[in-house]
Amino acid sequence: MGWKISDKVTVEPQDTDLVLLEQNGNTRNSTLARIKKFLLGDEILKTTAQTIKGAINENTTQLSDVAHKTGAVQTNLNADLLDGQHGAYYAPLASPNFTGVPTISSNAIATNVKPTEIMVTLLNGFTTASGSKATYCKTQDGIVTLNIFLNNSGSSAIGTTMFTLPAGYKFTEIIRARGIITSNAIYIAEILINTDGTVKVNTISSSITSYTNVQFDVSFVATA
Amino acid sequence: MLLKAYKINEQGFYTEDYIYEEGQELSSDIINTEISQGLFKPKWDGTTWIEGATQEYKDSIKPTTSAQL
Repeated sequence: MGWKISDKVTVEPQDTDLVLLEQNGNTRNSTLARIKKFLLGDEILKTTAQTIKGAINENTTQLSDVAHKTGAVQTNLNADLLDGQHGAYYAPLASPNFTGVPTISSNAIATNVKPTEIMVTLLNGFTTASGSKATYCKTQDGIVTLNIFLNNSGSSAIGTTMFTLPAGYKFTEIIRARGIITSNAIYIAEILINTDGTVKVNTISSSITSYTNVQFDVSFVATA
Repeated sequence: MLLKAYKINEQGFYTEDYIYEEGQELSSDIINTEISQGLFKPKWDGTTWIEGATQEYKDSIKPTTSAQL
């Protein structure tokens, strides 16, 4: 014997309406709500519609909200790329580890790389004093530093060029720095750094005409 | 890495240092053979640095007059 369906549905079905199921030879009751849950699911995209078409429309609206609604914060959203780049491409706000040559505006950031110390090329018989050095160097931001201690073994006159700074290590104005001259005593000297890079003792605070040693340190910003 | 070489004029006399990056090609007026200390006017003879100063030049830079601040 089968079931006889006496009437067509005349009103909209409700979630609490009974639905008959044939299961392993037995006839069982369920509800329309359970059948709808089975067909549509209700865990993530819930629907309150009572028709298939209505449920699809409802879910489509919810999906659209997820993808497009302005200002809608989507927790647990897991994007693989942002503007075509993985997350490792972007530096963190805290303790970023930059590589390459980071810049701010048009100014390069100096790194902690020490400048290369270069021995000056001595002329006119000058030599480096024993146990000392005669070097120049330039930092990344263009500060030139001279660290000089020389013997005047050739007894060159005051005003004789000791060495010449190279291009990129010069200044567009004459620089007058203080130095120390050793002869039979210690005297103050004026060191002249000319715009062509030549460096020489200009004057001494004494009437002496020769000296055995000269030492000075000076820093300036290279402009030529 | 910065390296130092030496720039010479047409007569081979040293004029000033030349600072360059490692791997950079050098022109013919740049010499990367080290100059020994003690020379008055280093001159490149095509193989080595020699003293290019004459005795007359050396005499001319010896102290003869006084100077005072």
